[in-house]
Amino acid sequence: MSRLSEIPIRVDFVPASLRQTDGISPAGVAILSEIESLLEQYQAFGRNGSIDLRWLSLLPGDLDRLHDVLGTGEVSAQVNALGMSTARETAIQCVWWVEHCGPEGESLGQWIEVTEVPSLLRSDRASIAYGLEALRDRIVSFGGESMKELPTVQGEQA
Amino acid sequence: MKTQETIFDVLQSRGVSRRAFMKFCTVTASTLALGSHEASVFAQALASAPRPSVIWLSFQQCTGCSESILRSFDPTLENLLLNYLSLDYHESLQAAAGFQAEAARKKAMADNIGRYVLIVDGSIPTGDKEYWSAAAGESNLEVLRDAVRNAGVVIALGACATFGGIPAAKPNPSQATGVDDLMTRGLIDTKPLVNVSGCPPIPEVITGTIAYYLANGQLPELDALKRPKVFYGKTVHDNCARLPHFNAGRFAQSFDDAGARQGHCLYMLGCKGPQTFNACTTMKWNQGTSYPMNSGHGCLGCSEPGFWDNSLGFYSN
Ligand code: SF4
Repeated sequence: MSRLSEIPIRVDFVPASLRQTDGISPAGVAILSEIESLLEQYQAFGRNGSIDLRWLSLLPGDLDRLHDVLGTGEVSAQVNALGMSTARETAIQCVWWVEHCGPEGESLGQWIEVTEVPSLLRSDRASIAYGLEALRDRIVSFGGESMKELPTVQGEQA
Repeated sequence: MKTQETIFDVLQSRGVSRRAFMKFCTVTASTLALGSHEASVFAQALASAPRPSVIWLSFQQCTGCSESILRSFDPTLENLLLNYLSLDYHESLQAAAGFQAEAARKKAMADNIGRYVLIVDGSIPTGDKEYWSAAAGESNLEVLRDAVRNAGVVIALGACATFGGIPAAKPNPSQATGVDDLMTRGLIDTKPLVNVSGCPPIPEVITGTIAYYLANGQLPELDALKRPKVFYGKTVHDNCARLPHFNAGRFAQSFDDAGARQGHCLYMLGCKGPQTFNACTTMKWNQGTSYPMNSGHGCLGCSEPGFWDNSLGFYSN
């Protein structure tokens, strides 16, 4: 073993920083323990969960401190649907920070989601019928031949 | 067999994506203070609920309630349900007019007996003033009586439809009153009724109430005045940013004095916050921007019965 990175270490599931409550209000500490228990549940039973940060009595700076504690992960995604939404992976596996904004950029709320991928980011297989219809229309409008007769949205629902 | 068209089918066919719908459900569930599990049950129930027929009747009113929720040209989360599900009848918004419009209302009612959502804004003249407000030869009271008879639920929207509002202020020349009072007096049938009071009500409160009903097939828990407790369970004073000054006895004495500028309480300037149950301080107005006390003016108490008459005036307490 010649390199430090080859030493087989296992990062503690809840890093020590999470237990350092210095500078975090009691509400912030409560949120962190809630995340901890949601993660344990998700790990054990695959049951995802979320925390709505909108109605919690947080002190100014609490959200920033939570951001600091949870850190930044590899993925940051934007969704443009009735205004912008963002889903940012935190440095804690399976913990995401999701924010929904309205059409004028106003924040509608923030959520912590414990899941592999927030459902907001998933494409919807059940909507493929609408996608096929749009694809056929686009092909025709770009001068292509109309495609073989595929079931319509109505037909597929019947 | 073609299954019944659901809310999500209608939204999707009008170009609303699943993600936009999910976002609507997440924010609305948050507005209704649902927990994370309840929120996902709510989203599934709303998506698969049958498309409702919504009939909106407007009587003695200023159109502020419709403006409050339908004002935007852009689709917003608040107007998503009503704009995209399409209202079967709304006198101010529909393209149809005259006999054609009346026929559309009667058809929507006949096709959805016992199931349609009846939204009412505006107060209704009664007694020998019943015909002070009428359309197509029918008084407001006759139209309402006919529509309530087979409604699944009635949503009284705004100060006028709930408690009479400005038209019912002294001397109440048209003997105007609200829907609940008409039910109590037996002038119209008694049906499940929810009062969404305010002048106008907060858009998210209107949407949240309708979405809750559509997802659950029943009304949310109501207070003694038939208002949804989740929105009207606390006074605006309970969450006012000026509350610490109220508790410390620091009151502004005029609108532009040093105290007012430092955020002191506006009670001495007539604020009705301590007796007004509404969600202005939590939901806020204009897409979460502010609320009256935050912008320097006291609460007028617009969501309470007797709005206009039941106080010493807007600027005294
Ligand atoms: S301004 Fe009105 S609502 Fe706010 S604390 Fe004073 S009395 Fe209460």
